[in-house]
Amino acid sequence: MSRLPRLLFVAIPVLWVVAAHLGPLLAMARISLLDAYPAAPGAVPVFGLHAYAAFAASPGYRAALVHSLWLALAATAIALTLSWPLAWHVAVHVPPARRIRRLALLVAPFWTSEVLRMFALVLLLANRGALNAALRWIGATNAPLALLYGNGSVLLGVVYTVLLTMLLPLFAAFDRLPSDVLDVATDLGAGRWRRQLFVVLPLAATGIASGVALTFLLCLGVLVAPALLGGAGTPTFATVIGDFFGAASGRWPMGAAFSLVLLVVGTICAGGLALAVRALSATPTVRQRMGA
Amino acid sequence: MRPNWLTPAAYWVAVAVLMLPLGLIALTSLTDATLVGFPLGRPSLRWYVAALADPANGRAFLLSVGLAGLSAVLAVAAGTWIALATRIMRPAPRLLLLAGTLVPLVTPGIVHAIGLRIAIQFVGLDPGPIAMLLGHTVHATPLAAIMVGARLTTTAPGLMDAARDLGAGPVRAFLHVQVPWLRPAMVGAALLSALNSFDDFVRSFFLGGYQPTLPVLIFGRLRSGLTPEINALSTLILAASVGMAAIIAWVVRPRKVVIRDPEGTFMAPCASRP
Repeated sequence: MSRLPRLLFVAIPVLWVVAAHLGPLLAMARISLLDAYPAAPGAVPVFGLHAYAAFAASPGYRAALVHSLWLALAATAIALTLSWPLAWHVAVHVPPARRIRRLALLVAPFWTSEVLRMFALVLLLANRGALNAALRWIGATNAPLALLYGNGSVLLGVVYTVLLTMLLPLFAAFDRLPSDVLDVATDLGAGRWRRQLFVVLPLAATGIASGVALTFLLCLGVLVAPALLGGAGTPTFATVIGDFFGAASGRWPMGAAFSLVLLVVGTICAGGLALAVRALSATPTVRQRMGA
Repeated sequence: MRPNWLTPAAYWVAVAVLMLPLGLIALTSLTDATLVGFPLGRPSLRWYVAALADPANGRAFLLSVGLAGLSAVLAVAAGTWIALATRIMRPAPRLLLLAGTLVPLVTPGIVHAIGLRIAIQFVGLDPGPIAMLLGHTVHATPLAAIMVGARLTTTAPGLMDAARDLGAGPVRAFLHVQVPWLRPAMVGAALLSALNSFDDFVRSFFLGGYQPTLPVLIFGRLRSGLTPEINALSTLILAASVGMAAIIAWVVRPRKVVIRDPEGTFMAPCASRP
């Protein structure tokens, strides 16, 4: 390729990525510094840190952020605990010919909208839902149990929203493991748990770390689960942000600033989690046993 | 590996538990009761008739399908272009471009949706179908770039050079040699993008204005008043999603690639390649 077409060939996608992928975040950063947006006609915009100051000054907003971080951490831990044996089974125990079909069957529910999945959980947990109907039918309860609109139902909803994001990286990581290494570990007398901790974890650490980090980040952005399964007493940071953009509330700078706070804090925490997974897989004990 | 009974059992239990709630949607749709949930009424297709007769459902369906198709094509075009560009870049800028490409994939949903909402306001675009198309395309581009890029790295090293040496111009070599090689990844990425767009809620919610896609429509009705019509509509959408997932599984299954080259001109030198 000659020089100019080659330059254009590279420049166009680069400009597109800068404009469409990074542009929204930059625009958000700018709006977060304004005093009002969309600005009233004739008003001169005033730049400042008002929105960030409002966040720092409000215990309620800070509590919502902390609540969201704990929720995301719990959902990530549950997703990891559930995904590990499932991904392991499909990637290691299922013969290659049937592997993709078994994986597809497992992930099929996640090929529906998260709105439908949360609606399904409402049908499971509501007062007139399947669980209460079953409990009443076997005579365990007289009045329906309040299973919805609490932290538990939101946590369940977030896990049901993001589980796929954990399953696929774990599957990919386990699928790539050399099987002879596991056989050697077994022959040398390593039991099931030792194999997972001292052989699988170090070899699959990159995949596990990326699954954990990505799942944690996506948990922070889940809006449908708290909106449909949560109550008034369990606001997450995502619902707080969404409310700033409701009809005619005109508090976009607050929403923009809070979004950036969530993104920055979330990315730092996700990075920390990824590092923790890698550190865990490279502790002296593990390294020593790997070498031994 | 020693087989055991525990993980297969866990697998089948998980499949059942993950499917069960979705089955409840279908079960509670086949009723003549006016309240959603249990106890079930008598079996009836009453709410399916109501769902199909409601013009709002039809409009939302057409909007969702149109967005899914268009955003898939645009996302694969953008993703393919990005993947091709990274091939001729130096390592440092390539890494920056890849990182920038992945940003929409790793940004929490609410943050990405708010960012897009502000961005379209910034460029003077009103919420609506065009804004949603843009949002869905940007969201799907990273995955398309990854899938096409992975396929691109398995291209035989001299394939394009061979085509050029044999007299094909850059466009012809691209269309007749490179694209056929990339086609399985492009089709797979397009279908996955379409499914993501069809299922998307948070971007459509903030970018759609007063024109709801199916997920936004259902979300709105879940928050206002429930009738089993939502169950019937949701069951129809579930069926559509399952059908599309089956098509994806069939399309992306491993298979041989056929490169179109009727005269055998371009591929002949490669035929003897191991």
